[in-house]
Amino acid sequence: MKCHQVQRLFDDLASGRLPEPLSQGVRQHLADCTDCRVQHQRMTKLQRLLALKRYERPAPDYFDSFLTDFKVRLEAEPTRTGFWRRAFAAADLEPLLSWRYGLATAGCLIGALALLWVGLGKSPATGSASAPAITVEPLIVTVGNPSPVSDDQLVSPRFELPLTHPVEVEPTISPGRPVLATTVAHHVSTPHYVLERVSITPATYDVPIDF
Amino acid sequence: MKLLERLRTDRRLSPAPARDDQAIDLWLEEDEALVSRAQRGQTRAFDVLIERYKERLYATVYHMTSNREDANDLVQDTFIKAYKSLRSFKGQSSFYTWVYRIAVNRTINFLKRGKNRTHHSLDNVDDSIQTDPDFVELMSQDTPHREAGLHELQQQLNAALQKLSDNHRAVVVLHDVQGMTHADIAKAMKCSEGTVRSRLFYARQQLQGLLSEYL
Repeated sequence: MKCHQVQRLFDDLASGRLPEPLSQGVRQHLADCTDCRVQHQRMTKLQRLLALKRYERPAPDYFDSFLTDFKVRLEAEPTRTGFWRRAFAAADLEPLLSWRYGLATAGCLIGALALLWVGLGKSPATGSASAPAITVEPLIVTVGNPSPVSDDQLVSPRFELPLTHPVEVEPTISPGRPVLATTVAHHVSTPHYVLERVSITPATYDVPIDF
Repeated sequence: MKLLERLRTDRRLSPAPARDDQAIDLWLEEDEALVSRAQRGQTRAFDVLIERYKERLYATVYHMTSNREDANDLVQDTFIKAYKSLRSFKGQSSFYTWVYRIAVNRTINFLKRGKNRTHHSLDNVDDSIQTDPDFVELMSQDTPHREAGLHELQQQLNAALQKLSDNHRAVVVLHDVQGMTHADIAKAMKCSEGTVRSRLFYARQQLQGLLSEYL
């Protein structure tokens, strides 16, 4: 037998519930294995220590009013029932209950008709009338430098946006430098983002962007 | 006999005074008969069941909570729950097992809610412990706690138990303090015997570390 198997049988060994051959095997293991023997002794001591808690007892008159208190609390219990239970308990539902099957069937039919009505009356979606607030059409202009343009060479022009009117932005073009020209149609006052050397930077209308 | 005397003399328990012989007859009846009577509306039969098991239930709950007031409240709650659910009791287990399960579950739920009183209010220790061979042996050992005495031992035991998880503490209390079998604990806690054994094993491992000075 292995140690962990033996250690799980300590309780049964102490209570005498183990079959004799198994009991002998456990005892033999305890005689041979020092670890298990020490563990068994410690566990037995712990159990005897915990058993001393049985001597903790309340004072002799501790339960004198127990039954009376129980009855008081029991009588107070019905007031703790929920609102709906009390509401339905107060109502006389007997006449309604006699019609319960008919009412349930009528309810199901009404529900089914309502679902059918909603299903037939619902037209397909016509789409949203709202348009995108900001339209950005990028245009790459290369001046004086025929070499290909990579993403990190793109820069955005300096511009300031009015709040409510569409605006055409003219790029400032430097010789030999590729520029991303942007046409912006602005309709609402939501902030937008400008691609600035691959990172996205929020632009506000108050502060012009320097680069 | 003290209970019989009380049953004879206590007139507060019932609106109408019961005859002495009826109270005695009830006290002599088995649990099944009392449950049957209580299910038919005889509250005095349930009173006898309360008298019969309140102290054992209290002891279990007290060892799990280490607080007298909490234990008293929980045992009252347990009997109220049992009384209200009495019609659903089919007798598949004994009344004591059934009510025990209610008490243990309510106590575990109570502890999980964290509403238990934080301080310990411990019961007295019966003087008869002084003649217990285990206690005598423990006190005769040459340990630093020999002079500390009974009160500190009680404090240490309760403090160590409170450091266990709720389920581990319940299993240790039911087995090592109350002396219940694995099978009965499994029924009371609605889990398998293997789970009980496993919890017991790990709880004892933890307790051995916490109480190493006494072992």
